[in-house]
Amino acid sequence: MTTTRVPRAPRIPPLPPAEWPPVLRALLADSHRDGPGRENLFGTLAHHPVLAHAWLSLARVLTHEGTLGHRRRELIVLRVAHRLDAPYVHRRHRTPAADAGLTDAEIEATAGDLDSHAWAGEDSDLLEAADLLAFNSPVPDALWGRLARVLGPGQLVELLVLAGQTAAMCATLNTLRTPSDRQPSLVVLLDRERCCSAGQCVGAAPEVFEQDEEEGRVALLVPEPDVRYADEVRFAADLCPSGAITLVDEEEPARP
Amino acid sequence: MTTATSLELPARYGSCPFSPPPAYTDAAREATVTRAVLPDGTACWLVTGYDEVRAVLADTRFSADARTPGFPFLSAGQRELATAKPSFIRMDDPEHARLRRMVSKDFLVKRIEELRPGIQDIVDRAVDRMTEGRTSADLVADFALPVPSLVICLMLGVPYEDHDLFQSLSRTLLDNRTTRPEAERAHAQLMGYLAELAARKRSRPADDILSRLAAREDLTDQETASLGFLLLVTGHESTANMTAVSVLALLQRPDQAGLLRADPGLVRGAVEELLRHLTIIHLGLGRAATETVRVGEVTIPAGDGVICMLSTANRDRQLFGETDDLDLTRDARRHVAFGYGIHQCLGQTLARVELQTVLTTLFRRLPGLRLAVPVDQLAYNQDNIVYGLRALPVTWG
Repeated sequence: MTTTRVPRAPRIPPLPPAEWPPVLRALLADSHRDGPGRENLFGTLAHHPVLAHAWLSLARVLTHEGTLGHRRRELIVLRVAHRLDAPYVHRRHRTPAADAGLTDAEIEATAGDLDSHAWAGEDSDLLEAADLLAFNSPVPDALWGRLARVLGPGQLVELLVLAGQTAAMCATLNTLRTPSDRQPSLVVLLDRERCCSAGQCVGAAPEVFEQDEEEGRVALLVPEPDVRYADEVRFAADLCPSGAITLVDEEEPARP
Repeated sequence: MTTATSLELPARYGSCPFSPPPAYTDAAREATVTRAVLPDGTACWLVTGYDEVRAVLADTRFSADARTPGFPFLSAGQRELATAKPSFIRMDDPEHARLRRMVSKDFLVKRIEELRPGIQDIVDRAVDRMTEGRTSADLVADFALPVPSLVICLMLGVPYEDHDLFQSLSRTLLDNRTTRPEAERAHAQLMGYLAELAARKRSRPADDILSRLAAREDLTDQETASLGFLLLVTGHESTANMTAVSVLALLQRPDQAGLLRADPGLVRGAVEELLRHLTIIHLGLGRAATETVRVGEVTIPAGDGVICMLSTANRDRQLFGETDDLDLTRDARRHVAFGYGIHQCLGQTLARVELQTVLTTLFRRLPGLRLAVPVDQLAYNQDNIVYGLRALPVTWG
């Protein structure tokens, strides 16, 4: 079953990458190793750079230094996102979930009735825990006992913090009506050797291009600019005096 | 494809103070590439079409190095300036890129935007000085020239007290009537001045471009002086001329000046349109073909000189519409007033911010600004590489 949503304006619009502190842009670029997206989450957090840094540090620990294992982590995140009606988070986590070994059917099933899928015992316990933790409901002793048989104390603490962090993210994005990230599909090729630092691109598409600090050569603010900037990027490529910017149209095959 | 008679350069000016000589626009209407004859009798190509101008300026088979055989010169003075100790605008890559990149970070869009409040301050003080205790002034000497000179002096670390020296020397160097010995002397004098200044900066560095260049070990003293020379001359001369001609154009078009007064937010687009419409490099940028190249419908053989006409390219009707008309609401951002290709003006963001600040401030603070003499009494720098006004007597009382 699908729900039709009437798009509403965000209560606090995400800041465009041009207005982020540079460290946040670097963190986003870094996070793309774990899959695309997150522009609007980062853009929202950018309103509070110090908090953004703390939040993303926690997210990084949970993603890269966690002890639960990737599969367990993604099950918890997907289920909490589903329970809190946060399609933004659920959609964004499809890629890391698949990377963690979840099948498409399993990913779909995290957004449905738990009985409609033949979950293995441990998966089922984790999902049941996620359902309760999402709403801060008490975890019964029987379920806790089953979890404690397979997870150590550190892993259990991490499980609770992970569910809480996911819930906080869902509540933040939902309350602010933060829109989902659009699928990036704009491929911009830069030939930085040719760049002569005239700065035309920054004038034409300030959301997409910046100049590096050393020599003012062209750089992208985000690795894969949102398609809504296509016209501006095309204009920037036309104005660029040195031919350093090439825009590959979606229908054209990218250069090898 | 070819015209019967060759156009003699430079052509005579017509009556419109905002247009290049009519012979250029006539030639542009006939063909996008035309034969022309330089003052020394050599033939060259005049590239007048927008697409063709961009194609040539972006094509590395056309050399910007004035020592390349066939390079076109409009005067003996220009030949001296371009060949003796050339700055990077008269070099090809990789040397051009090496030197340009040493100063490119000082002209980043972000950095120049940070200078905006300082520029506003300089402009406000210039208006104060110009208007203090009087109701008329020469807008060129009392405002248009001091403002960009002060800004580039601050950035470079050149003492503004020396402005008489560098302003008069650069006027001499940009004048097509200057003889070779005169150009040689002026060039040596300004280079000597900058080399001396750079030496002082090396022993007592400050937070300015010349100090940073002087401290580099990968630059010779001659290269440092030459970079300083280029930034100093281009940094004040073109903005000063563009300021004065822009103000005159707006005074002659009260409807357009009124638009700007009513909505200062128009100023960014207005400056682009003024750059397009006035394109103060009337007789364009020289290049020499190092290979045989097809340009538009013409084949240009290796060793031929080419002049790219920014002024006619910016009057392309297909691209810009009714181009002889000044229309501050036009989207003129595709203009090539700053050139095109790897040599496109490095200081363009600075020039834009200066012009935006100058125009909004002047028309806001002096609502009664008008000419103090009849327009037909104004004198223009028609013999300079950069077109401009010799003086612009104005009043506001």
